[in-house]
Amino acid sequence: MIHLDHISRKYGTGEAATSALSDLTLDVPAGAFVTVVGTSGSGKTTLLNILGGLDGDYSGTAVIAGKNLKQMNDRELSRFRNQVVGFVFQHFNLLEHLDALQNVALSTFFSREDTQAPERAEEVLARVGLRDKLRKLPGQLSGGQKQRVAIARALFSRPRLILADEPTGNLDTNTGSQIISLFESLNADDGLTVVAVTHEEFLFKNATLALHLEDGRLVNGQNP
Amino acid sequence: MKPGKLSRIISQNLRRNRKNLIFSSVGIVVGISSFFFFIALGNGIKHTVAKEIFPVDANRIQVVPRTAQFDALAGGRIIDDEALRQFEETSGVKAVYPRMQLACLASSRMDGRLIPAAALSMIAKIPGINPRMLGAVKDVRMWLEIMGNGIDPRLVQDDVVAGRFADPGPGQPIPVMLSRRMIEIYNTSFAQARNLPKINEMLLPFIPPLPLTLNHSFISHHVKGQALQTRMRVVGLSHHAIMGGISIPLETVKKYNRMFAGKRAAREYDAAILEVESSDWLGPVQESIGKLGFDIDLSERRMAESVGLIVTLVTLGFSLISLIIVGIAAVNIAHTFFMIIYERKREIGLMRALGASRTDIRAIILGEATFVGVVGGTLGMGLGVAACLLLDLFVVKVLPDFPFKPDSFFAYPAWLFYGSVLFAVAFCILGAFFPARRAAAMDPSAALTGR
Repeated sequence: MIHLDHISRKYGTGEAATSALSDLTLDVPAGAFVTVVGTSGSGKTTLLNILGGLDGDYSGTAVIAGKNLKQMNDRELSRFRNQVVGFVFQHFNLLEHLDALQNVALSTFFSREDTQAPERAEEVLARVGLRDKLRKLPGQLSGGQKQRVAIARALFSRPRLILADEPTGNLDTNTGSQIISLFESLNADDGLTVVAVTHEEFLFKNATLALHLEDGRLVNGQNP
Repeated sequence: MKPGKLSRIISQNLRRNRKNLIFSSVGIVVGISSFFFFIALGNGIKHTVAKEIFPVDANRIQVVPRTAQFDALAGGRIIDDEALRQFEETSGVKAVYPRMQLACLASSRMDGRLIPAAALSMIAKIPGINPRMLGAVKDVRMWLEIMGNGIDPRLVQDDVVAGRFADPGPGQPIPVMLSRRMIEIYNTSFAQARNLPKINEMLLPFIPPLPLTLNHSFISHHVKGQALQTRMRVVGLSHHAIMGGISIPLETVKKYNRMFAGKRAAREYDAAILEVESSDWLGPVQESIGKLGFDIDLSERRMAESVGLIVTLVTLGFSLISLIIVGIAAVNIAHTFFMIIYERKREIGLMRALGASRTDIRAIILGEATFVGVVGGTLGMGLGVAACLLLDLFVVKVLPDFPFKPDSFFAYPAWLFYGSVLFAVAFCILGAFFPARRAAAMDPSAALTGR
């Protein structure tokens, strides 16, 4: 599913340049549950952005779901993000003026297919346990519920890869555990490949691969 | 992005930012309304100048004999039947309408008391005529010196409303065409001051024949031979009629010129109007006529063009001010969109993460600007129309009549309606262009973190 070959990413130029990722090589099979841990500034989010096609300013080769991201133009990358990848963010990134159903179906605007948006959105909201919150605005939901809506949004277009950037970072431990259980269920039951950046590695007991980044370098990649 | 989806997302965004956008579009509304107003005013004035004050037919030119002494010596020619034949044979000439000066003096003595009671009672039935006006008509005592010319009946056939314009039979009144400009001045000054009825096409059939004495003058003693008492009947108003005189059928003038001034006077035309196939032929025909030894009288055309140019320049000046207002509004729109984009930074990043391309982001911002332009342009156009109608209402009700006062000071060409909206849209898109470009160029990973 994921093949990274000598990926490096620098911010800035000349002497002021700082290295976010250095010579990172990695292979992740489809259906894996990967956690990425490391201190702030270790390159976790940069790695996730590269995997999701949000950051193309790197050297090396990134092949995701059989697609070489470097060889894709903006339109193809957009389609890739729309169809292959689902993002989950620490701060949920829900649009406050849209209800849960509308937030979940947001990606349909950028899809070529005429998905049965309301039905599909309702289906994925039910999948994350929010069948009774369809018409709630983000302001009317708890932190955990917001993150469930964000997960439902990531699932909406039936992606093969879920990229979660500190999905429990804004949640209490109990709610965080529930969200992780949801990810585990998506991985185990639906066969989705999940890559989750986290500070709370201990919560991800069932991860198949734990990556430890330090100053942009992969310190280890092992089964926990 | 499909148009339906794009319009849905645009409508959601517009609803959210309606206060900002309404505030920004005020400038567009004001600018477009003043643009509409000034263009409509300029067009209205130009229309009045072109149709009422200096009517010039684009496909007609007036040929006159060469007047300069040197040219006359060098072979300048008179316009006679031979010249008319040559004009007709000139390539590009569709029709020739000769004109001849009445070579004898003429006068008219008008006495209101001589108008038959039956004619006055008929006139009284015309809307706008009141009994006091008829009293003033009875009191009219006028001695007029009259100039005249003969014109080709074909030239004025569309202007004849009360009988025929052709050489009359013996004892019949001479049909007469009067200048529209002259009547306009009479109506708005002389008639008003003396409470006389205004002359228009509706009144003409009811005006009885008026006395006309040919080969006679009240003020000149250089009249030889017998005067001829006859009558004239006004049969129409025309821009082709002589200003400050009467125009009568060409054959009638020839007849009286032969009678009072000799054969030569009945043979020489003072001008000929040439109608060309199309305006493309104007240049070549002018050149051919010059080679035949004649001049083209462009004074009326030049006067019309000069006035038209002045009106156009003034209109352009005001329109430019309007466009500057719209331009400033576009800058305001740009600021608003920059602000909106700053506020929506994370949202734009999210859209990019969910599959929006740069083109999609650009289309969303420009789509919102287009909507603001359509609404602002339509409101501006409506406000402009309202201002025009209000001014017309004010002028018609409050200002007294004056020569060439039009029914409306405004003319509304079709392009002005859609042009106003298109201008507004163009300026809004221009205003939103750089914000849209910046939004589309945002690094999605940075935008997602609000960087």
